Amino acid sequence: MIITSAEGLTNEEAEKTLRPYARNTGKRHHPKDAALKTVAFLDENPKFLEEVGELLDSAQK
Amino acid sequence: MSSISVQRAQEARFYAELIVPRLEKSWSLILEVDMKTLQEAYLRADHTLSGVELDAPNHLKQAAHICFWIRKLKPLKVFRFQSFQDAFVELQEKNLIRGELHHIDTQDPPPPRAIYVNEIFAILVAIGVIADGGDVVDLNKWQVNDLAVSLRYHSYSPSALGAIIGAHVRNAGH
Repeated sequence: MIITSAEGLTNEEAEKTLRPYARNTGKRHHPKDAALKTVAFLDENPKFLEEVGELLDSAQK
Repeated sequence: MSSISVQRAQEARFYAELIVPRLEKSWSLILEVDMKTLQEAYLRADHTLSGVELDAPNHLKQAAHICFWIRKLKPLKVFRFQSFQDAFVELQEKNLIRGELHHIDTQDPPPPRAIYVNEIFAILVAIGVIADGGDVVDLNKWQVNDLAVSLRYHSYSPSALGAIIGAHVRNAGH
């Protein structure tokens, strides 16, 4: 994996993107917890991505 | 001290750091993540969620909005190792760079599936958000294939996406 713009958004850009009224939306998911659940899903279905990839390949032919 | 916006922007890294390597390994690709774009997708999902005028949008809505923004902003692209290798060799020949490249297991040119990396990444993020909310997404490989193709070629609003994803969700306890 290669990460570009690794420094991310500047403080000003982040502030501009997420306006103040959007800050209190109750319980939010945390990306780390959600991503770990995705990883767990893929662990339970080890061939899943590979098989989806094969279907997508055949759809393009 | 960082503001809430900045803290949240930093949280978006976990999507890339935990999910992207799995996609790379399964599909034998090297993926390039534009972190700024991924952070923007995450923050914009927060922003548009505020438009649903609920104090606490549930995990289905959160999943739909983040899926929508990732698919729209497309933070991933396939890194073409061959073109990098060619440039590296050329620089080496001009004595502008030293060192050697080790073999990397990647498909070059990338397989047809590579054009769907952002759609698949968006779906994987949505699956994680829903699972984090305590539900299970019941999507088989054919449904994910159809959804990825449809996401790429058709228009969806976050609400429409929520309805589609919601149709494939079952409560974990049932």
